[in-house]
Amino acid sequence: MRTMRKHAIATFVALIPLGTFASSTAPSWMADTLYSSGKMTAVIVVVAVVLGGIALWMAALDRRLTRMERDMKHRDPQA
Amino acid sequence: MSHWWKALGVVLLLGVVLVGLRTPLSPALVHVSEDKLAPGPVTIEVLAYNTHFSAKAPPQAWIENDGQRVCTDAVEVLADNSLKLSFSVPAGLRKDLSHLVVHDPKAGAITLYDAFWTGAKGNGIADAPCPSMNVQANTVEPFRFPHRSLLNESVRNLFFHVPMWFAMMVLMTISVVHSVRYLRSNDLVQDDGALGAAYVGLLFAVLGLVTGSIWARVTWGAWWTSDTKLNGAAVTTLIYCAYLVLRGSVPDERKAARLAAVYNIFAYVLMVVFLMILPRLSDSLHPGNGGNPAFSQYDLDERLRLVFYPAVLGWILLATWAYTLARRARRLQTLMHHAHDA
Repeated sequence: MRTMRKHAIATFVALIPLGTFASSTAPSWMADTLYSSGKMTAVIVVVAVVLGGIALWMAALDRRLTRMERDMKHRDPQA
Repeated sequence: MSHWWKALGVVLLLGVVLVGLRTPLSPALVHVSEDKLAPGPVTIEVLAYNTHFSAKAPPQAWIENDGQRVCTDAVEVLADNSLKLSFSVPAGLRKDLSHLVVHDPKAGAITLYDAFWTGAKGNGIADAPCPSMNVQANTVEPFRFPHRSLLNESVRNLFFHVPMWFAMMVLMTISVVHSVRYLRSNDLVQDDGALGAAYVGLLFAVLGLVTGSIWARVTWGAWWTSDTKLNGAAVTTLIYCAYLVLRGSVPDERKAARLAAVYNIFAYVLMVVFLMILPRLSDSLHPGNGGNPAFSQYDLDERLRLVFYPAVLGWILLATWAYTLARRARRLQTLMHHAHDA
């Protein structure tokens, strides 16, 4: 589980520089929206990514707790 | 166990981020170079926000005083957000305060209320109708948030600061219900619920304090003011911190749970007093209290509500989800502890 989390963080960190490369070959929708004057959309996407990331983390934690609860019940049916 | 409400919470919040941050503010007049009017010619430079004034179709402007209009002699468009207006102010304006109205062919009428102060009170001026103008028929009113002076763009914080307290109050209610159930049943599962909810509720209270402090800095100019609402919120947060300290200071599990449950009932009553009753009894800078009109009366119009209510629901769902996680983790911890002891 711990290694899985490390992999996830490593993947995420590895993806960060992609943003800088993306600017050289930006598709047209990006030029139209993300790079529009003021660049507010970029902020919104960042906030949405953060929120989505927290939600994914919570969902993973939720699943992990469910698994642990199942194990616990298996070991001690009274609990 | 169904999960749909968790997904609903996340989807609502993503929608709130998208709509709440993307929707532009209504055009507004934010500054005038003169704020006193005396009879005679006057030139006023006007600074506007989110407007697209154009010299090809210049806006019309007038000063409104007690229902009477003083029309401009000339309108010069300096930039898409700035105008130079020339007026010949007649003697005899009735009221102390006058509004400035700029009617843009594209944006419609934009009013700066109480823009000017006129010293002497007269008996009224001769009514001279302003020349008619070509107003584009605005078929569809675009969806925009209202522009409030002082708040400006920070009005969007409404979707991220206020729901923290809604979520906190919901969690504290869940917590006190579990505490009462614990006292009636002596079932430690109930105590885990009370602790989990208070723990996550406290997190949301701290988020509410921090976000409120930041918002206060940009609107009131201070990180903290000695205000009933603010101090009440701070005291409530401390009361719940004490709840956690109290639990931690009693080694016996059942004794701690019992003490904490009794304390939690008092804490809940104090929260209601400090957050909802006391602030309404005294004057406060914070909206919704004392002599200060609430957001709900005229500030919070239907366009803000359209995003605000989903935001409140979304944050409450997310907070409830976090609480179920905290409660289950706590339960597992207790069970493992017991398994280890046995």
